[in-house]
Amino acid sequence: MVFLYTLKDQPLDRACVEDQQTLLDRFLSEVERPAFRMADISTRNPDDALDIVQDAMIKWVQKYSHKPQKEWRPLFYTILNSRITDYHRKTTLTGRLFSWLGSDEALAQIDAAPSSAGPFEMLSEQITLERFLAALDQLSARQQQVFMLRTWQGFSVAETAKMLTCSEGSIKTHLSRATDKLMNHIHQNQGCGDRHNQDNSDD
Amino acid sequence: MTKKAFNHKAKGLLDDHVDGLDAATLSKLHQARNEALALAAKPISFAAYSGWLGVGAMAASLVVGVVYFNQLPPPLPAIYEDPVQQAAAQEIELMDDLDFVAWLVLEEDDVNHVDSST
Repeated sequence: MVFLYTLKDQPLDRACVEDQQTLLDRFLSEVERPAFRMADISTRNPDDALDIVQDAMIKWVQKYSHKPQKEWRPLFYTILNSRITDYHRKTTLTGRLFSWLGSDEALAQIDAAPSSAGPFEMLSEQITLERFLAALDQLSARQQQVFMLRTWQGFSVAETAKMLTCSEGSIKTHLSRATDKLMNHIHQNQGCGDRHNQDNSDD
Repeated sequence: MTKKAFNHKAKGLLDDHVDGLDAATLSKLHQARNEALALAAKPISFAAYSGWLGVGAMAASLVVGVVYFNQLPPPLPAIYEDPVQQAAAQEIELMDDLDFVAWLVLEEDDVNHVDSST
């Protein structure tokens, strides 16, 4: 009786496992590229970014793939951002020091930028990917994470706060500051570029 | 340009950035995904159970320790037992007449002594 039961259920179980594998594969193939870009932007190192994504995939498969499907995406991005945060913690003191110096310099530039609202109206369709990535590079790691999770991946404030284990108010503040910095940086560089072009034409 | 419009533009740029991944990176990502999925398909190995084995061993040793230390000490030889206390433990009312109980116990001891010598 037991033998018959086992024989009867074995193909069903195998089919279930195959279905589950297909679902996991589909999910991971959807998230792997944005995840890689997110890690790449944050680490500025494609090899480290790849390691982070692979670690996140393995951890997710081992620990959380049995969870309901609607929870997969937030859980995966939680692991990914946890890995990114760990990466930044592990970077050398020198690396961090230079990074902070860079951030301070950028902040000083942003503070020196004109504060009138008018120029933002000119910041329109001319934003290129290169300019945007350069501006994104000026944000702190946490601001990058918040901006990408909220604006790009479309997670809610509550979801992002849960992922990054901080308050919703903190997420709103980070996002607001990140957007301001990005817009300022792009506008400033656009202005410099325009002035540079104008100087060249005068010559 | 409003923040909303800027964010919309930023999302589009980042999506384009994802689409522009080179073949080598895509191949590495594919490989990483397959490695992760291979772990999901693999049955749970001994190593996965080793953590639980450790917990089980610790619990078992705890139980053995508790049982060992909770064992009652062996009863003292009769010579060390106080007959009055022994009797009182059996029947608390006897404590009312200690002299009688002492005599009773001594009588019993004497009888036992005679029996054993014969």
